[in-house]
Amino acid sequence: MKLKNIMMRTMVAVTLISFLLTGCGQKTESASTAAPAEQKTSETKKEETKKEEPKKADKELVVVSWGGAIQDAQRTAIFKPFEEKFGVKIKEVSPPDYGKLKAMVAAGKTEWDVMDLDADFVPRGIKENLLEPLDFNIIDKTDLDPMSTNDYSVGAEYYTTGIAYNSEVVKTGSHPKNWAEFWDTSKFPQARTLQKWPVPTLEIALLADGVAPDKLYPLDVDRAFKSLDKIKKNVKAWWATGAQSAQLLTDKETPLGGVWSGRIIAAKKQGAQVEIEVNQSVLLVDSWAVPKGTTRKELAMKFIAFATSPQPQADFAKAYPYGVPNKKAYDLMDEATKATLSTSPEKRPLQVSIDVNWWAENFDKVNERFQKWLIEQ
Amino acid sequence: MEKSMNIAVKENSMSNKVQRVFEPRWTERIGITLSNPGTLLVLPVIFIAVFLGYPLLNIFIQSIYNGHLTSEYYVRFFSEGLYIRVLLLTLKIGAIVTLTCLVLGYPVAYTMTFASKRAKGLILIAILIPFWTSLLVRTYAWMVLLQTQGVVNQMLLKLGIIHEPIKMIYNTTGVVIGMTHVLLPYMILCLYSVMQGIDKNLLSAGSNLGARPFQVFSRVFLPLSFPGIMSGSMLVFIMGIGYFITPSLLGGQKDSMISQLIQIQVGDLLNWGFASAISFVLLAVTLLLLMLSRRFLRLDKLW
Repeated sequence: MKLKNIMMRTMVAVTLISFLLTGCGQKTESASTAAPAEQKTSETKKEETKKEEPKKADKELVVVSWGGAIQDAQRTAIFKPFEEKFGVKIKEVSPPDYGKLKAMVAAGKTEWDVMDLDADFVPRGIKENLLEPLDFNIIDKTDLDPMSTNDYSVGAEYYTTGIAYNSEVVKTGSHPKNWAEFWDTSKFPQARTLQKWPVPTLEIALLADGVAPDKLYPLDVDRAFKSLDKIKKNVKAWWATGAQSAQLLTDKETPLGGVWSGRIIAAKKQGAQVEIEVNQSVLLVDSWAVPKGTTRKELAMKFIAFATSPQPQADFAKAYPYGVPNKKAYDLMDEATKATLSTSPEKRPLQVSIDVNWWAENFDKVNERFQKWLIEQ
Repeated sequence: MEKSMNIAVKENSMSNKVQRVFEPRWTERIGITLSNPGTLLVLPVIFIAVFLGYPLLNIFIQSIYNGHLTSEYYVRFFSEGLYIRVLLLTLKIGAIVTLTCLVLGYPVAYTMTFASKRAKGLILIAILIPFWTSLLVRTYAWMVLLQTQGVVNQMLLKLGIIHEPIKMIYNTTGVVIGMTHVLLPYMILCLYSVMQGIDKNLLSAGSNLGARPFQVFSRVFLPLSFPGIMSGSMLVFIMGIGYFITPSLLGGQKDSMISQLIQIQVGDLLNWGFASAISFVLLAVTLLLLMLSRRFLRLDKLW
């Protein structure tokens, strides 16, 4: 009887502890798919430091970026030099979660200071009143690409979404060289992956359907979805994070994919048998912006001014093959670096450009339809 | 007459005064006393009210208020076949996972009940170690195991059991495997806690009265373990229909469950009103199930 009692108590205790532990586990789970663990720790750390030394709060800056290889490059080229120059500690968070941003602003407690955003989010962010206007007395925009500069954001880096393939499965040379070939499932029966995001998936679908790159806009949305219908059953996975897309290609889970070029080049450097086609890759831009209600606005502006100045941009381009918006930065790069960039003069004519303004008008409606289309049978 | 009444009033007011001295404080009046064991619940109740009740109320308001009172979000949920389909799929996956957990978990709990102390400990450890491992780690491990070039497929191919890889990931199979693995310990622990409380003399009595071993199990043990089956199934099902990470990583888009629908509305579409409405539909379904199960058995006897 006594033994039974003890057993019973142990069971209850064990179950309780387990429930508590799973509780913690679920918190991590809801954080994000990209880098939940890192994100959580960096946030907790941030809160701790805040409590310990509230006066030094202006000596730190919370920067939100995309994680993985791209954030590594930003760390060496931008974050570290900025910390040294301004005596500031940068807290890194990833990824830029728009739902979280809205929650922070709604609660009047913005904990992020600078964000690296999808350029197409900027107009939505302005509409939802989530962004601070930039201070161009601090940020010098004379040499910045006017295409990616507006009152609320400046370009951070130019990236491309291109046709990626695992070269062990699909040999270089006989790989799909444009989106129409990528859509050809009889010639390429392999599983594919595409981004779970309407930009630039709709553009890609239209290119595959034979629309000329310079005649894309305004997007024929119905035609794009019809084109997507044709490929749907061959898209085995819709990727949400860059790291995931590179993994799918590397593991041959999906030997073909529409993926960010930088992730493929980074995976290749680590020995993965993956390649990316330049032709018809879609050129997009990420933008630096400041979330509404940050308490460190001036420092955030200084950070953006620094991040878009020539030297850090040249260093970033050297570390990661993405173009940058400051034209003076190109004077500081060697020819080899320039050739690798998404914005190199040789690649530029092969690429397709995005119209952010069209997306600003149509994003909500189209994304709603896209997300519904994804879960339809 | 009047005089006597005056006196009566006076007396009355005096007795009031006397009474007030001994009058219980308001806390005592609502039952919070040191002798009442319910007093211990005060802190948890406050905690629940602040951290569950208040946010839930906020979410509910968001689901019906959009500058003005509105039912548009609920109407939208129930008028579009797609959302109903996601809800039904969620319930279906929850039911499949509950059933697989029960089929896999019952023999384990049964063995534990009759095993030696040492074996019991070993089985418990085998159940709890994965239980204590991060859900994310376990889900990623399943990705490595189940993918086309994964360990399971490679092994089956080498052994010649299959000739081309089986699709076990990015479809419902993947979701069911992953969720069953995560939820199985809950089922086993619920079953075991009931089974080990079953009086083993009843089983001996059954055999003494001439029942064959299988009859002892089916006529005596199984019915007595029924509360465990119910509590385990309820727990697994209710936890299962709220799952997010496992279906997002192991399922395809067509296996989207209701929490993924909520996440898209919150994170990508920033449509919090609709997200709140979907959350409340999920909550309502859960409560409905709890109420239905109450009709069949008393909840307080479950846990």
